[in-house]
Amino acid sequence: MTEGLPAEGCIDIGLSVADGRIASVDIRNHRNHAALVPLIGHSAEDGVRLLTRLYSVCRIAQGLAGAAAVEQAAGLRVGAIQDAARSTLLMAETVLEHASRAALDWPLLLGEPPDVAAVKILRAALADFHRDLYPDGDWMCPGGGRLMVDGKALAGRAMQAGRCLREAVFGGEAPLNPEAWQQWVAGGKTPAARLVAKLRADGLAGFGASLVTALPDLDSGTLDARLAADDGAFAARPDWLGSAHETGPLTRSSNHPLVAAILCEQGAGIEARIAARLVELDLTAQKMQDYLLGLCNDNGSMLTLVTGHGLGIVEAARGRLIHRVELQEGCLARYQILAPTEWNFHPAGALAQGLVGAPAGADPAYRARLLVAALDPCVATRVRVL
Amino acid sequence: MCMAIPSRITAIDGDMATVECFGVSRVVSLMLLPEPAALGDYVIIQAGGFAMDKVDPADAAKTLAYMAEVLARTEAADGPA
Repeated sequence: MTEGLPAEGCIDIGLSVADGRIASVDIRNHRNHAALVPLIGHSAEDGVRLLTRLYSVCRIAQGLAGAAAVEQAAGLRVGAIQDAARSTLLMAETVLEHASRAALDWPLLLGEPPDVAAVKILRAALADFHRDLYPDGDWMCPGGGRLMVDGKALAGRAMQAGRCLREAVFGGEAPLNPEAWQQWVAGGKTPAARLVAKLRADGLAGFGASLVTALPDLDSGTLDARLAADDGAFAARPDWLGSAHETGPLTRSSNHPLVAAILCEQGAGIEARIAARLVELDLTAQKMQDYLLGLCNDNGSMLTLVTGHGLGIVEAARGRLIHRVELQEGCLARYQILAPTEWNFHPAGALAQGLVGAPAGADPAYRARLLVAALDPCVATRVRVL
Repeated sequence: MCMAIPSRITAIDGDMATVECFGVSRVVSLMLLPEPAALGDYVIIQAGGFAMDKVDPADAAKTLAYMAEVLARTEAADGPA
């Protein structure tokens, strides 16, 4: 471990400035890519459970990607009932993560105190959402855990979260079209609205626009082959057909009318990213409520001791998350994770391309932190001007 | 992605605490914890410097043992400085 770095790792971003513009961006990712080696030898089920403890910030996405990878390796298909419950868990995590950015991180960028009370309410409603679906705590179990739906409790959680979103994030109904968005920004009722207003006042609404394209659907055979042959370089600095790509709320919501209108006007800058996150937040919260109506009980399937390999792909809050496992008689022989932060903070990715050539202003580090926050890395970042 | 290693609280000053994990100390906010924390408790820190959850000491010990193995392997692979 590099001395002085947290054990979780971090991303160092160094900026150089010339002639009033950011001339270069040096991104160093200190994430510990050896972190998965000790999983080898564990049973598939124990290994996935351990992962959810180790990667506990986005543990639902990690646990479900792990379960899906093991299931593919074992040739096991879970049914629609388990799929629906897993999707609901993932939605709850996405809502909590997006709302936490809006209530914790965005006020800090404005110099305002974070809305701790709102995040506490959201965490109480959503952080352990799985308890009312999988009472034995086996939601990440390959093959599916024992699903015992407490519909009343889940509806209460969703209602509490929805009320908090309306009060703390949106200040009313979510603004989902360009006209409503303009009124919402002008009204400035919540930190999210005030942040967009400040960006506009400072001339930074379109700051950091890049032409990095969305991560496309990845051919599973090609992806599997690249990961199988990977010595760590691909997972640390991924490309697809030689190009860097972006993955996250903006790429998922770019066709939404509000996001598309902002993209058309300003490009893929900070305002477009904020709008995309808020659109996804509102739509995911609504979809989660719809899913709750269709959930039912299930016992899952038994995993047999097999040898094989498989991929698990989920759309996590921060972007596409890919796990790959190799199993030897039911035990983990290899484990790999390709995370969205590695795409977005690639040396030629959305952050780097958004910053290079951008006006530096009086405080280029602050401008870089705005774009970092809009891209939402899953590890701590440190920005310095070289 | 999203790795969160339990950190041990070594000092508390109001809503802030100093936490330690593998020799690295950080000052974090305790405001988001759902329950009061005390010296010696293990907490999970999220990017942004907030302690999000307390961790059962037995679970923390398992995660820290795992991470100690990761760091030992990393140092062995890197060789002597």
